[in-house]
Amino acid sequence: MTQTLTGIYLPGNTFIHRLDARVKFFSFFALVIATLFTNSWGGYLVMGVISLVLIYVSKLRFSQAIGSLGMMKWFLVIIFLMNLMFFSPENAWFSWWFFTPSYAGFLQAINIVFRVSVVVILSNILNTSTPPIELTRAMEALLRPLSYLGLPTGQIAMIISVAIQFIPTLTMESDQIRKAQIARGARFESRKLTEKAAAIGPLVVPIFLSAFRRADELALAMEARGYRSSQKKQVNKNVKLSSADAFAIFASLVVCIFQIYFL
Amino acid sequence: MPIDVKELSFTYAQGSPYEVRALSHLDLSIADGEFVGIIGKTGCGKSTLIQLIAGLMKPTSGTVSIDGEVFYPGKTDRSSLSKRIGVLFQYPEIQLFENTVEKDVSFALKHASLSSSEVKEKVHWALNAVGLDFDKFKDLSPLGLSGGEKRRVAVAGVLVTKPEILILDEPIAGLDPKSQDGFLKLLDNLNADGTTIIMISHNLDALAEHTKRTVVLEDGILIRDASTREVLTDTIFLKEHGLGMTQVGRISDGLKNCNLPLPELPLTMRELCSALLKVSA
Repeated sequence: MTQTLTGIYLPGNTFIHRLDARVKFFSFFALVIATLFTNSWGGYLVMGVISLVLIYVSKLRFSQAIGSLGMMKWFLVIIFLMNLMFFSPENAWFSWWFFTPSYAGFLQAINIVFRVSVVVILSNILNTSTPPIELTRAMEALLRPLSYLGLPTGQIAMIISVAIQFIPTLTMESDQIRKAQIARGARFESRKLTEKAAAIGPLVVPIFLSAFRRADELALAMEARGYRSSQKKQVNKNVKLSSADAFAIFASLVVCIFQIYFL
Repeated sequence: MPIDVKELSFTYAQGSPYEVRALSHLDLSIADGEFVGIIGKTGCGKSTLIQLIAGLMKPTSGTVSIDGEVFYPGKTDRSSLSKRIGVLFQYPEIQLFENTVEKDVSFALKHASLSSSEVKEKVHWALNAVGLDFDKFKDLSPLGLSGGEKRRVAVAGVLVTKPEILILDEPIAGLDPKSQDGFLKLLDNLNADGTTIIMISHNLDALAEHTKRTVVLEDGILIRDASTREVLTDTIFLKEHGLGMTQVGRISDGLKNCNLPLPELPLTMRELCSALLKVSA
């Protein structure tokens, strides 16, 4: 709990916060697709500006928007180096052992790191501006067409929403277990890899046990209150989309098409 | 190892909209061999306070020093402290993980460079202290025991290092009455041997019978720090702050309402009995 929180819902009343969660989901996917098709300096610029505008409009602090990039820094460094070193064996600057850094590889490395960063920032904006329960409802609504193919979309949505609702509980419990084991002399913070590995058991075993126990208890509690998985779920269909929602869908589609065909 | 807390403040999730100030500017010192109770409503900062005292979190501001030395995670190597401070969290049975009771109890001794016979001796002592038979339980899986037995194994796992300071968060919640009595007696014995004990509890009766000093927290502020007798017989104060009353307090209050006031307010059942005897004589 004490570390800086990134990617969790931050209440607010901005344009982005007020959008319908389904619309946000849709726009998020449209922008992710746009990002994946980005492959030119102009395209980078457009996506970069869009991300900055979205951060600004959602009143998200810049540090919070890019917070998870900091946690991923080694991942980003590694994918950058891998692309730089291995992407193109032809026209390499030099070749040493099996490393062949090249200009093409350098461009590809920037490309990949940029795409990953933008996708992470976009998902951060989505997560911080939408309450988890609305996210799962939106997911359910967007999955609903698949129910015609026989997919149990209601149950999938229930599984996801239960999982999301239990994250804070399990986080708190893991925190307590971690502290209890530290108090008993566990060395999670040790720099020695062997000690670190040995410290996993005291942490993971109790967390799993308590997660399973909670799952059992929840299943019993749901059953006691008459939950049937086959039961038709109440659906609130009458949620109207606002003009802002329509604008968001339109704008994200335009960006998506623009990126695919023109940049 | 006297404990000295100065100007201690702690804020959760600082800088985010979820920021919660759990403790502010708290001063507290606890001498060797004390048995201190901490009371207060849920969310008043009790658990935060004991985690800071145990050196498991870094204060937002202020200091905790033990034996004159300031420490917090990152600054001090906790491994030397963990042998001297024992912490028992709420529902400690969730911390069990080994496949035998003996291994789980000896977990805290892993880095102590003791011979296996010394470890065995300590585990034997700790299990004995919590009322479990070493030979009967040592090879059982802690996860297959009953709730009360699990709790005792967890307690043994904390006691095994013979800590000089024992910090307990609601240790008797969820135990049956007999186990509660046994556990409190164990604490009395440890305290008599010189262990400093700090105990959070909502069970005022237990605190009245066992602690000498009571600290009251409200909204992260220390509002009272006095002898248990003074705090727990101050019925007006307890009512005002919604802390409940001891059974003895309730009886004395009822007697007062029936125009049968006791000359001085009793703290324990024994005192109540002798006061009643005096009145009836």
